[in-house]
Amino acid sequence: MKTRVGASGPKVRADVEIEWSSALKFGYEVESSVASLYGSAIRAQIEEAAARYGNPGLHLRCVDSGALPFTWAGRLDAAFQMALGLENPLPEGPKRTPRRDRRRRSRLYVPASSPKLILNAPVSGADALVFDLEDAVAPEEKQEALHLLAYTLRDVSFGDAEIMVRVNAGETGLKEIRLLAHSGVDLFVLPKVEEANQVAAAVAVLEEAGGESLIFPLIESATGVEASYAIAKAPRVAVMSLGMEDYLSEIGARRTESQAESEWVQGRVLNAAVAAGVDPLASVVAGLDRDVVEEYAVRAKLRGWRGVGCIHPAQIPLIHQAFLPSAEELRWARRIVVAFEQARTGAIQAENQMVDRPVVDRALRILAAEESR
Amino acid sequence: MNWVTNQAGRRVPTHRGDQELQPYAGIQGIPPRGRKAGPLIRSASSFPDDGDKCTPSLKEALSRAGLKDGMTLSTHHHFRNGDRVALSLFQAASELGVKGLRWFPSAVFPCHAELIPFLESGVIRSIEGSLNGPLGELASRGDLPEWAVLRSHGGRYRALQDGDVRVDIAVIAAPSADPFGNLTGARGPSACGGLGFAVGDAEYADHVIAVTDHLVSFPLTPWQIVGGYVDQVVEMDQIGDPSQIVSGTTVLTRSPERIRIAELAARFVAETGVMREGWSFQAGAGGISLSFTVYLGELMRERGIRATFARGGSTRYLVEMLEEGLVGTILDGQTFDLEGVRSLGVNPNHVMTSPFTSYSFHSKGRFASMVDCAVVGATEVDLNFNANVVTHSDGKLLHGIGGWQDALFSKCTILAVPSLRNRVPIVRERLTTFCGPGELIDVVVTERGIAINPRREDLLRAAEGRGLPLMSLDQIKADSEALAGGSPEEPRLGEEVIGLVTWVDGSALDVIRRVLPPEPLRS
Repeated sequence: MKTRVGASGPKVRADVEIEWSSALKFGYEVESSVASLYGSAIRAQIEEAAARYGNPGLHLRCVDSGALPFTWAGRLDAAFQMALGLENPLPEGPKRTPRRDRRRRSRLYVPASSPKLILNAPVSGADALVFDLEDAVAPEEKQEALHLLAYTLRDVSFGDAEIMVRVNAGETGLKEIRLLAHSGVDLFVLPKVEEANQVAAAVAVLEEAGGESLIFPLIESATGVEASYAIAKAPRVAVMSLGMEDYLSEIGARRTESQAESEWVQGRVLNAAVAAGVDPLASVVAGLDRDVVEEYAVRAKLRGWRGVGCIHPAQIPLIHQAFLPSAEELRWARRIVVAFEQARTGAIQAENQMVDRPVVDRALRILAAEESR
Repeated sequence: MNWVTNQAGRRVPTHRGDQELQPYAGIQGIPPRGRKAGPLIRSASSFPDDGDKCTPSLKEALSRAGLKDGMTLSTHHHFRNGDRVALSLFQAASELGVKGLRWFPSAVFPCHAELIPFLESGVIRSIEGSLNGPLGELASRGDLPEWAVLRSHGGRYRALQDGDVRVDIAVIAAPSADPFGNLTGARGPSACGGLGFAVGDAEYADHVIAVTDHLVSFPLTPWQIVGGYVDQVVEMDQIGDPSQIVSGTTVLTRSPERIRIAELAARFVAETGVMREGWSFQAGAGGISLSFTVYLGELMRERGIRATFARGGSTRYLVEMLEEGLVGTILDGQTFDLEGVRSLGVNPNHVMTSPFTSYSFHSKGRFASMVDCAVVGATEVDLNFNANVVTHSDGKLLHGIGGWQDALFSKCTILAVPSLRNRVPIVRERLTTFCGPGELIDVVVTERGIAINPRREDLLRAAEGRGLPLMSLDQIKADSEALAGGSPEEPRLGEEVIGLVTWVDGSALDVIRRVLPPEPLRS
């Protein structure tokens, strides 16, 4: 039986560990690195939370390494609800209007259980942030991570970044979607999707809860790949990607730098996404080396992926750079657009090629990417 | 004790014991009068004609130097956290039954927690210098009998020149020495680079003992400190732990926040034209400074820009830039890793400097003010760009000044700091301790954005429209306080003064008070 949430220790920063035990009446003790500067605020926050739960017969032992109020709130809620066996609604976040047409060159995975990494996210410059409740969170920390995430989304400003949450697979994930339906999530990332019905189930949960979030299915199995077009066509799907590690492991292949082992599946899933009118996003880049990241991102862009997943903020500028049009592409795009506008006919000859509407659209996309630099 | 308000608006005492203190009167400093203090006059005829000044042990050397109660002894921090000399020194003094000594280190490191027993037993009475780590905590609790006097590296040199501090015996750790006392840090099993911080003590101390674990035959060339200053040479088994000399300060940070700050600072200097052909910069070790240097290297390479010189701490990254031709000369104040040590030994354009050449208020000019850009840290900054580098917001004395005050004199001084340290916002209404005037701090770079000092209209103009995330300090303060749940409470400080912060001219800038334990948080 779990009797503590959060973390403490010499290497932990900006978190608080709360351990509870039953007592005759409510009480607490706090050891804090910021006791002299935020003692009153900490005291007020604990007492306010305890009052919300009716000052239950619990004693809380808190070890604080400078946690911010949103972390305290998440940890306290988790402690009270786990100790008392409650499952109250999570706090609501800011109202957001999810949009299909967004730039998603980079999406940064952030473990929803780590306050320190959460705080690095707003300044990362990523187009999208994926708060991860799935693989990045240990099974025994899933429940407290959900509380921390809800307060994170309520209290921390992430600027223009698109907010995504990767939930767990199956029933756990559906419950997480229900609890976070009003937390200000643009897209829920569904792992291990193998059929369109899984998306439909998530959408049903959202509709019942009145949530407007869009869906981002991850194809991570051979079965999922075969069903990828149907999945991409399911309601609310805005983005689709491929969980490369799980897929390759299932088919018995190993990930290599040449990507020969995934040529086919990349084409297959990308084509399904584009055919269904959803954004195709490449898998997470494996490796932190500058050269590896740059090459991966450039290849992803040339293949037609519109963005790359990443796990460290240092990867983001490299990815964005890779997705910028090259000088050569820009020159080409400008000539095409000028030639097309001057001719004003359906199809013309320019730059030694037949220029029709799709070519012009590509040129316009390149110019738009340059403008939003 | 009488108190006055100085030009920084801080209440400072007029005296320290029977020594009169000048209140801080502005960045230009108090005009000096008279002559510098002079070293004791000595005669070559009282030293052996064969030049052999070797003494068998440090204890013996201290006896011969006339060590007695109440004397001032100095050591230096070339070995950083691997220093063994301070411990050996006070062990020997303790065995000689001497008490009430004053220690005058050039800097203190966590390894010096080993000296706490000598403070408790009364062998050491006071520490005349910047304190940090466990010794800083001890001071903050009010457990040292006398004030810590905090000076910058330049300020320490000036204190010797002014006679504010007279050193009875200086003990200089030398990775290589000959029997005459010619010394160098560039070679030997404990090679640590330059011995610049010991130069002032060699010149001004009444008695100079060199200790070495690598005695070579005369003449040791090239020397960094000439034997003409040295009274005795002692051979010891180990003067420092080489693995700690090259410490974690030279490992590149992986913290996204710090990387972002370093990158923003580098972009700032590149976009505003501070970085231009023939420019110069201050380089350092530690998370942000080191990454800043790496980013500078990339940008300079990309744009085909070369620096005439870099000043400060040398690391492998700076050495790479030197050997690649991106940097013309390294003026090395402190050598941070083995690549720096190697380069100092082989590259004629990598030269040792001292606080005299770079920093001192009484020098006829200083390298620090010729540098185009310096990036330094801070624990707090206020809305007028004044900053604190020695205490945390809870009042604890945890860092020395080092070369920080001296480096502020660069043409563009950038404070590179996270907007929050855990919960505590870095931008404060009022500093806990005033260490550096905002007139000398031009830019504050945080992970959230860049604030330019309104005094620097030229930088404001240069930064406009360059795609830099410009913000005001008020905005950074408001954003970080919103996350932290408001501004911090006033720290709980006692009336008792435990330390004095001095400006580079020796004037009294601020005092540091005892920290009271926080009220227990329980119910």
